[in-house]
Amino acid sequence: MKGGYIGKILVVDVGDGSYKVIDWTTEKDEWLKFIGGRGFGAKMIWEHTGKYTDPLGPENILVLAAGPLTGLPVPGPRISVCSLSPLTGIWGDSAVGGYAGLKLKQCGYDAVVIKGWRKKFAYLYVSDDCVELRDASHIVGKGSIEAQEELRKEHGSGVATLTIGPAGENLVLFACVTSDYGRQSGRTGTGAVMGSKGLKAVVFDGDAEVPVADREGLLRLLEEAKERIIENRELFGQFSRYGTMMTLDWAQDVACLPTRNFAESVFEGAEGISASTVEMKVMRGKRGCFACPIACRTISEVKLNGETFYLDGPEYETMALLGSNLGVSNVDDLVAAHYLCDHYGMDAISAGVVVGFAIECAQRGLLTLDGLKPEWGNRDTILSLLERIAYRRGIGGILAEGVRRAAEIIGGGCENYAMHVKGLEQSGYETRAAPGMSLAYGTCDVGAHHNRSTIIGWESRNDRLGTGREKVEVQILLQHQRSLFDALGVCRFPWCETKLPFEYYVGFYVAATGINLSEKEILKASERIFNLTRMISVRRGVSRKDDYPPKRVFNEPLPSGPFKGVKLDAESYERMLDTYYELRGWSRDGIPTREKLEELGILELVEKGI
Amino acid sequence: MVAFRSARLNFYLNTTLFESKPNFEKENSNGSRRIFLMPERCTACMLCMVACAVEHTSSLNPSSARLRVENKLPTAEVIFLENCDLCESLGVDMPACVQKCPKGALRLR
Repeated sequence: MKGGYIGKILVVDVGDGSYKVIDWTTEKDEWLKFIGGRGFGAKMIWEHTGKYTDPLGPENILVLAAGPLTGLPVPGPRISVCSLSPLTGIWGDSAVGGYAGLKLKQCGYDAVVIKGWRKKFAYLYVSDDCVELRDASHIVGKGSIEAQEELRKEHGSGVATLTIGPAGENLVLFACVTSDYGRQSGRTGTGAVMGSKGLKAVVFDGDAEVPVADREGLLRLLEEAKERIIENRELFGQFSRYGTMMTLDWAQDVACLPTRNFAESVFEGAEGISASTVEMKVMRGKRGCFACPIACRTISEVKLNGETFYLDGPEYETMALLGSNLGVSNVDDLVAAHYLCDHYGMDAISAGVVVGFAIECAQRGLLTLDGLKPEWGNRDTILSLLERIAYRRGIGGILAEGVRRAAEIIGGGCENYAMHVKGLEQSGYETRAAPGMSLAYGTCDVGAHHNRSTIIGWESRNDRLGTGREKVEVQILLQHQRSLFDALGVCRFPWCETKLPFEYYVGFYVAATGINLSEKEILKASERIFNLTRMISVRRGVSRKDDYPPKRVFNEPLPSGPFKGVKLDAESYERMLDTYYELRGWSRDGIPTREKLEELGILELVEKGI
Repeated sequence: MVAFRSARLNFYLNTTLFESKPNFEKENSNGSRRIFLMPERCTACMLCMVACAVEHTSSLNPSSARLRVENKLPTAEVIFLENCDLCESLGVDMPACVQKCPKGALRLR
């Protein structure tokens, strides 16, 4: 390999601590088809898991995969954490930023695969010349940030760590993997998979150089890209000041801010948790991931039980789900809830939806909350529910299973208030007045998550309530473009938030690897990955029946706001879904056809695994 | 290497509310050059480390740089190593790290 890639994958069996290093360059045509990152994850999970693999069993594998651009000074290196999700039972991946991607590549691997399981918690130490499982009894039970501090004290502050908190240890199904104080691979419960394997943390301690094919070319492109980012003054200025938090005001303006368990789409208390309030009241600094001139991350101060803590956040998603979605209009309560989620190591999006669901069900008399008051915006209720979930105490034991399972257990019609697709809790956009975004949630490969397509931005600018063919076309393009960034192993914000043209990323790829791919070919590769992840889910039983947004979106018209009275029309959604399958080359039942798989060059791979 | 134009730099600096007292970090042998850090402006993006590595070792490996950035809460730390000569050996006016800091957190006095 000329550069970008290292050519090695580390496979560790945590059962006995044995490991082997795979040199994938011997079959490089087979691997390069999948770019890297989540593409490599999809390939390995397709090959090494099956129809009946238990996501929390020893046969499931956890893939920490970097991409070809990770570790080079392209803004924001990302690791894709891929696995079969215990929350949804199907394909799950989530990317985490910070410095972990850089350090993983510096250790000399493109990916680390973890298999097997063990009884006693251990942590994995990886450096340039050492792979070792070490006893983790001194950090077991600690919060994910405390555990990280402890490991940094032990190994020096130059290392990067991936840790899980009590939620991951207790197999809360939406537990996440934390890196670098508060960067989370939040969605799909990868932390529970890590917990099930008996792995408390992974430490990357490498210093080697990541090879690059055309260094001068890459540097020139990066310099140009930085100029382009900064030239876009208004966007750049806002985004580097507020980060994703600025989305809250926008969401309130265009009426898609989830409010009180997605019952409404505008929140009267949005002022109290808006970006400018955060800036005035709790913001204490800004952070950027490696090599990023934007620095969108916020550091805020949290007061909890009379003590002061620092939080890497909040972000838009946490402000929407732990803020407006729970009726919280006080920024101190918001950051306290966010800090607890980070500390326990659970996904703040899923946690927000689950707590909102519990409060609404309790208000409707379907559930009792162990004596807690079922009130919107009640700090005590929210914080104690989060704690109960993390330790699976009382009602928390049911809620820790995620809203889909919780609704099945509780019964009594409460599935009408369970906001999820394929078992994954819906992230921060209310979609009754946004058919395109409903389709985005319905067809996203991991469940109701916005990272494959946030077409709501396009919708609000062009055609909000339309259900035409053009919208579906844009949707598919977005699903390929956005998920490509997780395959390349870098952050997508410079492209989608500060409008750095997409061609630059193709240029980065060519300069880093020396492999000539056009924009069309690289998007084809992204489509290939999307189809393979779909096949992983199809093999485990997913089809058209699972590609629908939550029931609430179809049943209840919006009670307030500019779109009062609007709900999603079931018939037009069916039509959009038909168009979507047709444009994707999938059958009417939502299954990729033989012809499509052959066109993408993965028919042989798929046939071997089915 | 393109330096930030000053108007742009001013615009950039105005986007942050945090003011802080500069910390003295490093000086050259005769004390004519000194680097200061505005700790609250540092975002720990390590672009200074990349710039240093590119200038002094022509590699893109931040670990070969002559300074280290440590991400700590609430403020990050920058540590200059023994072998840093404030780019005097290169004969440039502005050390690479100072020139490339996107937030103006490193200052030359």
